[in-house]
Formats: sequence, structure tokens, C-alpha cells
Amino acid sequence: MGMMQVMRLSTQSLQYLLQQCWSGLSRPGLPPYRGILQKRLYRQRPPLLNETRQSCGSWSKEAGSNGSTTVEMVFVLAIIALVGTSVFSFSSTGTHALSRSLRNMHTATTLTRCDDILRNAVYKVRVPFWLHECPMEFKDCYAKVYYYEGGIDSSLEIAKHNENLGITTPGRTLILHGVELVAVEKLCDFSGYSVGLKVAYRIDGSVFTTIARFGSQPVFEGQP
Amino acid sequence: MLILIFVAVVLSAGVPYISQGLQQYEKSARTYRTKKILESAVNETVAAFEADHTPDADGIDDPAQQYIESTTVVELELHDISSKINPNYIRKKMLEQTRLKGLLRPESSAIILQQYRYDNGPASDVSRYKYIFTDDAKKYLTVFSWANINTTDEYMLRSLYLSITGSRFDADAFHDKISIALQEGLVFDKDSMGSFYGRYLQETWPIINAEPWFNVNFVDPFLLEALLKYPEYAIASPEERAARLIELREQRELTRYDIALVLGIDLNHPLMQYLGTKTSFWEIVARSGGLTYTAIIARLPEKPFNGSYRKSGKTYYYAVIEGRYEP
Repeated sequence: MGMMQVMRLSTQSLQYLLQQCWSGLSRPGLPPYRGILQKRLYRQRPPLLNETRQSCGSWSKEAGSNGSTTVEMVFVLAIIALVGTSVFSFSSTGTHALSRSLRNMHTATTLTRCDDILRNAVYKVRVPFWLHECPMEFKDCYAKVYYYEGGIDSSLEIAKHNENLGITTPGRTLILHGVELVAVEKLCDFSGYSVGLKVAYRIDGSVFTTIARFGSQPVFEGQP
Repeated sequence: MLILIFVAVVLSAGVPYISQGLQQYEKSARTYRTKKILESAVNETVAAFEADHTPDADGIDDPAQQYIESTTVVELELHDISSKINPNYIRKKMLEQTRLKGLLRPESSAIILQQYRYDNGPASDVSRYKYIFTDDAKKYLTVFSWANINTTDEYMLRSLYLSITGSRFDADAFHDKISIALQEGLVFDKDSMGSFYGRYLQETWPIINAEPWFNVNFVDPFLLEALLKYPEYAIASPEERAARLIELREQRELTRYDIALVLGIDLNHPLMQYLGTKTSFWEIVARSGGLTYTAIIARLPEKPFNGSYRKSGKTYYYAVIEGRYEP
């Protein structure tokens, strides 16, 4: 039920109650200042001799006396229900929107961090200019690229690590929690030389791709 | 009141996330902006190289040098990194018969170097040779230079060919060609080497070419003197001539004719394969906002028979071949 519908129903209920109250007040022979329930109770139990109205404060009261009538209680309950419904509806929508915003914020933060880390790591791959191709190994959701920081012995590994993305460089493994590696493949320039990596990963159910370039560029022309 | 409490709770829960996200974004954006500024400065320097009106010589008066000195936005440094000894390529004889022998560790030798690189192939970092050369020698070494067909060790030329093409059979055939040229004492320029080596040259271009290693305008005096003292070249009074070249280069940009004139040699002299007037590889160091960007710029040499490069449409061009950021 939408917020507007709740408001509309609540307004209609209030109007109905007010109309009934007003009709009770305007009917001749009835005590003034009474509503629908008061009218019904008054008919069922006429006042006894010498009985004062003050003794039945829970049902009615004299004008100017302390305490609340049932009608007033009903009003209050109705208003509380109305406000409660509105607040619940509002809070439900608000919570949903907020949780969505927080999730988006979390996704954006993780994405920015992941993108930065991947780009910086891949940029540190520097292939000697005399090589046609960067030596690389690919499997399912796994890539190993040599010449990390220019050394043939050092490599960069990007792999799935218990449903997270793992980046391994010499002496260090960085796990990006909440980032699931989907695919990793080489990035080629128009001549067909590998110039970087294309890494696809999932964050909060959405798939993103980082296109990361090596820190070196081939000097050759033509097909590798 | 309830709404206010609810909003307060929600905000207090969300603020750390939002704050973290904004900080991350701001940091990334700031780094990105600085990187763009640094890369732009390097690209401007490359453009200044290409605007040189004397492309046959690189000296202290070049537009790139002037741009480096004039720019204020970014702190820039320019270094010639190719006018040095390339331990991947240097011939055994050149090391053994000159002062360059002093760069080797006492327990090492030119033969050990030759065997080491034959076993391991060309190294991408001079630190790979730290057990062969002394620590002091590091400033004279580089891995950034083209493999001149006339001056590079024949086994390393074969090794390079193998690295590039992966064909052992063709690498051996290429090596046979080189051996023939060495036996006949042939010295090639960019056009004649194309005629002699044919497809081998096409496959390895621009790595193997006929570009001299050292730029006389920037080469270290120690290396210049060592080169002039190479007995095979028989240069008379090498110390005086080296001093004369250094004196002249401080006044103006030297040309190949200046070298030939000062050394009293012909333009086709084999020494001219080592000593030229162009720098093949530059290192540009750009600093700004706590970030340092080091770029390696290669001057891709003129193609044989005035051919042009597909990438640039020019007969020669400058390209950023490496870059790294610190920290």
C-alpha cells in the first residue's frame, strides 16, 4: 500500500468520525458534547436519580471536568494509528532507500578501490622493449603476467581467491573482499600486441570491467 | 520526534560509509589529476623533441632542453640514458682492450659476461649484472640502446633475433649472415644493412639497426676517452681529442662532421658506429604533488630507404615506451 493511499484512507476515517461526532452533538434531547458511542450508551443506561455524571468518567464527562471520554480515546488511538502507519510506511520506504544508497555507496567505494589497485598493479608490468609479447599464462579466472616491475623472475597474478579477487605480487598477496573475479583476458592494441589486461569482476551483484594498461609500450609494427 | 530519531540513527550509521567513500573518491581524483599533469608535461617534452630543427643532432640547445628549463608547473629532469655501455650488447674485445675492463669485478671477466648473457639472454635491468660489474660501474651502464648491427656481440644479435621471432632455425641463419659480414669486415649503414640482411632486418626492426650508441654531446668523458683509446681504431692522442670534443660540446651542438674533424677520421670509420650525435633513449623525470613520474622515451630511428612508420607516418618519431609512478 502506498503512502498516498494510507494518507487518503486515514483522512477519510477522520472525516467520518468527525461527522458522527457532529451529528451526536446536534441531536435534540441528548446531552451536549457527545459522540456516537456516548449516544448509544446513554440510551442503554439512562441516568439514575441523583446519580451524577462524574461517576462515569470513563464513558462521559461533564463539560469542564477532568479525564477523557471514550471518544477522545478513540480519536487519540486513531490519530496514533494514523501517524504510526504513516511513520511505518515512511520508515519502511526510507530504510529501503537508505539501504539501497548505502549499498550503492559501498559498491562505489569498493569499485574505486578495486579499479585503482588493479590499474596500479598492471601498470607496474614493464615488458622489455625488445620483446614482441609479454609472457603471460591464462586459465579460468586466472592470469599470470611476467615482468612485474621489469624483472623476468617477478610476476603479477590475478586469480579467484575463495570467491574474492586476489592480486599476488612478489612477496605479497592482496585479497579484495566482496569482489568476485569473473574473467581476465589480455588487452591488445590495434596491431595485436598485448598492452594490458581486461579484468571483469562482480561487486554486489553488478559486473564491472577494468581496462588496465602495462607500464610499457611495444615499439614493433605489424603483427606479433 | 520519532522521525527525527530515525533520521539521526540512519545518518549516524551512514556517515562512516559516506565519509569513507568520499575520501576514497577524493584521493583517486587528486591522484588522477596529478598524473594527468605529469603525463601532459612529458608529452610536451616529446613534442619539443619532435620540434627540433636539427634532428640529426641532439644537444644542449635543443627545444626539449629549453622546455625542461622553462617549465614551472612541474619539476622536470631530462637524462640521456642510451649514451652508456649496454652490458647486453658490448663486444668482448671492446671490454678487454680498453679502460672499460676496470668496470668489471676482479673475479669477473669479459668471457664470463659473454657466457652469462648467452645463457640468460638480454637482461631488462642492469642490476642483473651486479656480480659481473662493480657497484661504481652502474652509472656507466644501461639496458636502453638499440642493437647496432656493426657493434653488438654476434651471439647477442642471435639471441635477440630468437627472443623476437622465436625461431631457432632462422636465428642460426641470421647468425651465419652476421659471421660472414664480420669475416669480410663489412660495416653497414641503415640502407646497406637492409640490402644485406633482408627479411631478418624487417623482422627485428627497430631493435636491430645501425644507430651509434653514444651521443657525443652527452656521453660521459670516461666512456668517450675509453672509446677513443680502443687500439683497433688507432686514434692519435685520444685524451687531447676527447678533451677537445668535450670543450666544443659545451659551446654548441656537435655534428658528425665535428666528430670526424676533431678525431681526424672519415665519416665511414668504424668508430662512427659507436659515436654519433643522436640520443636514442631519454629518461624524463616529472615531479608534482608528491608524485614522481619517470618516462622512458625512445627515438625510433629512420627506416631504410626513407620508409615511414605506420604508427606516426614519419620517417622517425619519439614514443613513450615505459612509465612508472612513485610512490
